[in-house]
Amino acid sequence: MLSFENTDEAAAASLLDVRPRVFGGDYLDINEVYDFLRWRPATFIAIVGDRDSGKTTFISALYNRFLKGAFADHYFAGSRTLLAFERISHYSRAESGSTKPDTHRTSITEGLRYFHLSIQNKETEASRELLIADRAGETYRDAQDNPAIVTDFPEIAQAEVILLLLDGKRVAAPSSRHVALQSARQSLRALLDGGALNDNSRVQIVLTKEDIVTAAPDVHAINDAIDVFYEALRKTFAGRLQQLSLRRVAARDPLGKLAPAHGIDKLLIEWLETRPRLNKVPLRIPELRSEFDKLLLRVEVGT
Amino acid sequence: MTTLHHSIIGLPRSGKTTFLAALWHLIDAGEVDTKLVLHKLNGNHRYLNRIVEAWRRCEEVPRTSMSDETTVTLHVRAVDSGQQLVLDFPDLSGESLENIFKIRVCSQRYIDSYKKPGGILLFINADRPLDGLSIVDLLPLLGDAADGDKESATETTPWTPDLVPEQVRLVDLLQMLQRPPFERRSRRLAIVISAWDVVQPQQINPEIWLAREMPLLDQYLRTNRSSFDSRVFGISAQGGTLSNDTRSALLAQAPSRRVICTIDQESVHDITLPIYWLNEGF
Repeated sequence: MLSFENTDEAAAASLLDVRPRVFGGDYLDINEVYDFLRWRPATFIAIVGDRDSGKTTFISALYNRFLKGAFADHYFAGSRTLLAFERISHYSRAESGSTKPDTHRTSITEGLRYFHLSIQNKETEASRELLIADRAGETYRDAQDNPAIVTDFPEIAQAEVILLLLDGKRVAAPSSRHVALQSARQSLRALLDGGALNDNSRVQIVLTKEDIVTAAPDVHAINDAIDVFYEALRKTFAGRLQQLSLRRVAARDPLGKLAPAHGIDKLLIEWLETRPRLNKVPLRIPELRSEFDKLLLRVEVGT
Repeated sequence: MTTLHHSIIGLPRSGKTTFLAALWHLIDAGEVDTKLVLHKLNGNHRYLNRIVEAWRRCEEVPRTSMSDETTVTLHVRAVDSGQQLVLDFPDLSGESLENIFKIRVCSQRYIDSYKKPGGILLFINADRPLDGLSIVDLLPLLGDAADGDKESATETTPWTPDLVPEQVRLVDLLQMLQRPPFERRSRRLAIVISAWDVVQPQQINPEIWLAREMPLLDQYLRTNRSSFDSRVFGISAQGGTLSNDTRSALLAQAPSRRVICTIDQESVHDITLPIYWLNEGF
């Protein structure tokens, strides 16, 4: 439910809370996601990346692109988290008063929450539900040091597609380039060795802020470094995953040279190649520690 | 006799009250052909008479406030079939919808009004400011201030629901009507683009205008036809902007002839058409 801080509306809401509540439109929590899956199957996306790698900007850019029209051959068909999308989009909008687009950073206290997007193929009219997990980037950082804690991130194990973000700004800068690349490699290793990823997992390595890379004076050296990194990644890990790909995006070029959500259409099309999974309640219900466990019981539609 | 309860929805200043004033005049005056005509006076029409007086003078029609909140009831007759209808518009002021949007609660009376047979008239003002623009969209206008390397020195405004773009709010509203505590059902939705006179020189189909100006809403309607069977009408209830220069020209005409209703590429004076189309769904 949407909440306000110290507003007249909040005070009024507390007085009026005997009245029927209407549909909220804010983030979905894990229980709401579980309820959602009773209604229709969904494709889960998890996004892993260091702080400032562009995770929330990426999600915001995908949503805002649909405000301009159909995208990646799909129409927007609805969202249960419209207002959550609007919150994260605010600092990129003219109404924020800023002259430089920015994104509100997910606070570490905000925990795990989900965005929902319903889309429909323009030609086939097939509908798909996307549930995108969002968690503060800094909490994933700890998994590099200790793979065992990936069990604290069940959204990665439950996801059909896992995006591992590479911060294009850090890759473009010579001093931070190799730290950023090797950090991503270590994250992937930690997720695999910690058991969050396996041979059913589809991983997309996503280079964000491509506008910064392409504008850099040593763009050729950067691209060479990325190619070497990716080849090494494939050599070590491709055999342990269902799919591993590298994509480049510029969610939001502040100078407007690259179109909004540049490259995100290709990612979206890959997401839709997976089969959405339904929630299945077994006849004999084993002891389940949490709602997360129930989500792990999902099976593929059509099997 | 059928009683249909059509809901009128739209943000504040979306032209709902002006439309009603013009409608009240047209269905009785007999100056132009209309699909629906007044059948009989029944009940208290003080509110309608107040707003139609301003409209006949080519003045801004007083906005409906929550204190005016009243159910407008019209007893009409379809000219072609003779069918008598009671049209009930349960909620007029955009302010109650504002509260629903911000506080996410509403009255049981409002919820019950949607259980009755009827459709929805959704108003959008064509004469609207651009909203939801990204900072990147504004770059050509920002000049030096748009240098991406400089830290922004301006104070930023925190997010509030008021800042949500209109098309997002309308999608949110339509989605809300299909979720509990509202009953999920299929409805006809007549989208009225008001102040159509500002768009008319473009000679554009109202459906195309909506797809261009509100792409998110357009996509939502395309993909949710099982919930909303929609049609778009361009309507100018005043016939033009009300300025000192234009008023005399507007006053010189028979009032009904000021009114424009555009469907596809065709324009007529009959603004009962959206309601006639809603009625046909029953």
